[in-house]
Amino acid sequence: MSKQEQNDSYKSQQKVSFFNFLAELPNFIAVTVSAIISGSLIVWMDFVDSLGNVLNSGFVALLSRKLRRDLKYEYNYGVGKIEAISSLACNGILICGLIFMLVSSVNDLISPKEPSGLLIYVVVLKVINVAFDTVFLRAQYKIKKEAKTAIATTEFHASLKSFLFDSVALISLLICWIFRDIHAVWYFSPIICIALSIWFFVGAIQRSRESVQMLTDRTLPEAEQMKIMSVLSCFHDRYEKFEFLSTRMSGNTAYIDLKLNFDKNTTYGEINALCAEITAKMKEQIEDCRVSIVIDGDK
Amino acid sequence: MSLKIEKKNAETLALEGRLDTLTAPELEAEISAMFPTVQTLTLDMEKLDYISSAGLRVILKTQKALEKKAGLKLTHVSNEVKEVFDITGFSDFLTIE
Repeated sequence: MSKQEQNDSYKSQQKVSFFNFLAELPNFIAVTVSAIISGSLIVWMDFVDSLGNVLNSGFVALLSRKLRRDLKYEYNYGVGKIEAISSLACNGILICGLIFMLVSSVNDLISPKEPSGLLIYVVVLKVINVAFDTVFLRAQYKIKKEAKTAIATTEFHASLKSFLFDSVALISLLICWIFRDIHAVWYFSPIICIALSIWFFVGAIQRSRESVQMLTDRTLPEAEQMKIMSVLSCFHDRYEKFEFLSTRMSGNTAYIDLKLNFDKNTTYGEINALCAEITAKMKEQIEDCRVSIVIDGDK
Repeated sequence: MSLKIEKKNAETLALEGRLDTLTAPELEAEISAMFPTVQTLTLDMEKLDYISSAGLRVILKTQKALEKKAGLKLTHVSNEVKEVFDITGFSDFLTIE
């Protein structure tokens, strides 16, 4: 993907996330009020989900705006760590909310409460909510299809999750309201909440694990380091000096940084070709790797 | 296990033990100190039991630095260490005696 195309995709992402943030804000306020009035666990669950959406869309809009600038000199290794820290923070809030929901659901299973008559207003709100979700899901799918950036993919999954959650919540609320006089239905809300909480919990733990992996650099296994040395030995006659080699594992990606010096008669084209060959050979040996070759300009 | 570096003469270092991530910087420092005056360098590897990728880095760096001088020579290389040089292709350009 060219820089211009990437920039355009971040621009679209910023726009969609900002509108998503604006659309989610009134929903968040409405859900908060509904949850307090109705006391329904499904609506409280919706509150946790909405809080996550507000934080996430607001953050992605800000991050997309920042990513449109050329950050090469500000963040040498990309912006993965910024995304990881933010993701960890958002998931931390989500996990706290989910634990609260799980405890409340178990409590309601032990002593169930009759669904509130005001639930019908929440159902109406939910219908509007699902309509908004459908619009954002379509927009996000379009962005994901055109630009295969990490943010676009993550946001598509977030939109899909939001759509599915709101649809399930809508159906559950409808059932609770229609059959509110049947005692067995009183258990419906906490059971649905426990199921959804576990589903969200697994996802949040998985995303947190990925973020931690991204944040904690590990040493590359010795076998992989030997492969790197083997590649460097292949091209030993095409560079003048080998200055340093630094390697690390971040997530599943291996980062390889090396500095080479060349004879002053070596042309830019020759250096460029060698760098491309070294990178290709490294990728052949270590599938998921990023190679940075520093050339000393004074030599 | 550590690395013992013995300076046999102005241009020869004898290595004993393991040349790995922990010990490679010691050898690199020793070689760097010799660079301004040395024309050729011999590393006696008779008692070197193991060499890791970190050790190979030091060897490659030294070899490239001495390429335009008389060069780097490795002597009495054990079979285990020689195998590492063979697998990584270092045997193709190093002077091993």
